[in-house]
Amino acid sequence: MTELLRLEGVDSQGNPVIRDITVQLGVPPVFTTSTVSGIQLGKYYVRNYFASGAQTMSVHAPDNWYVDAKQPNGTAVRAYPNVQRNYTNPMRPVKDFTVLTSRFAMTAPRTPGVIWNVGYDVWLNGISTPNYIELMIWTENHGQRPKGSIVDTATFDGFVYDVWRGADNHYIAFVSRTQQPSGSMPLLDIIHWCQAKGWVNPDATIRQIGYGVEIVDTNDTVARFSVTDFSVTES
Amino acid sequence: MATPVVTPKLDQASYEPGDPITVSWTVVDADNSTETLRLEGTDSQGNAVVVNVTVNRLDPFTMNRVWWPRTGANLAINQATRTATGTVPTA
Repeated sequence: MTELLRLEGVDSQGNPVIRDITVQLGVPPVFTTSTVSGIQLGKYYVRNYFASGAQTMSVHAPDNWYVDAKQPNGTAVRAYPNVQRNYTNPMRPVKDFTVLTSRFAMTAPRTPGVIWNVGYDVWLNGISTPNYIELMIWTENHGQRPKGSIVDTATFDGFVYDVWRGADNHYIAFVSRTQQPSGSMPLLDIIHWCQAKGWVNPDATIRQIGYGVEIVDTNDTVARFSVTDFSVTES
Repeated sequence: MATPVVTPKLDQASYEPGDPITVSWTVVDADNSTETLRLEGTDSQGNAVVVNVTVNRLDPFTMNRVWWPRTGANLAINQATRTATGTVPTA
């Protein structure tokens, strides 16, 4: 789609100039919001989550959306705009999967003082249930630190991760030592690794697979975070 | 009496309807000319000094209107910075 823009001018001798310029127009987003809300698109739900500050989301598709976020200086996670694959009524047992991988890509501002981490947030056994486990996989980190402490390391698809674990046994975070702005994530392999460690119960269920960015601090200026690829392959 | 060549440039590669837009332009005009300014002086020993300075004389160019033919909406023109700003029309 294009739009024509016309410039009309004249010099001192009265010589007229008319120039037309073609402006390229993108497809308008299917969903925009500045509140905590979201949209279901096929099997994915895209959610503009933020607890404070300001954040506007524009969604073209589950694999093509962005937020313009503004957060003051601080250290706490204030927002997690994300795309989700949900398994509800019932949740899906891990053992039922033979394949569970995900493609991802995000661009985020690597500006000094801006703090964020991009990654997966996989909720096992529910979200607000007594036996929930939050399994995070950080693909990129810019000044953020997970909960707990490093308890192990693991390697998946050639990428080495520091493995963090919270004291309450409800939180596990794989933090890639290499920044991965895009790629493919072997989710099932990582869950199986945690089960082999005894950190995830053998009969665990998957409630939600989220991919997004935990935003802490944008230096009180508007920063854009853009997802350019996301899908979950499962069977 | 040569027609100037105006080259516009947009501030983004692509826009969405309603986006802010800024277009800037450069002007090359064959009617532009140069003028020589001569400075002549003498120092205390009687040595003559002559310096020629070339001054560019630009033919003034005025952008009268920058607009969207489909809707008739105008962009706001800043002659000094040779820019125009506005918003991309919605459908």
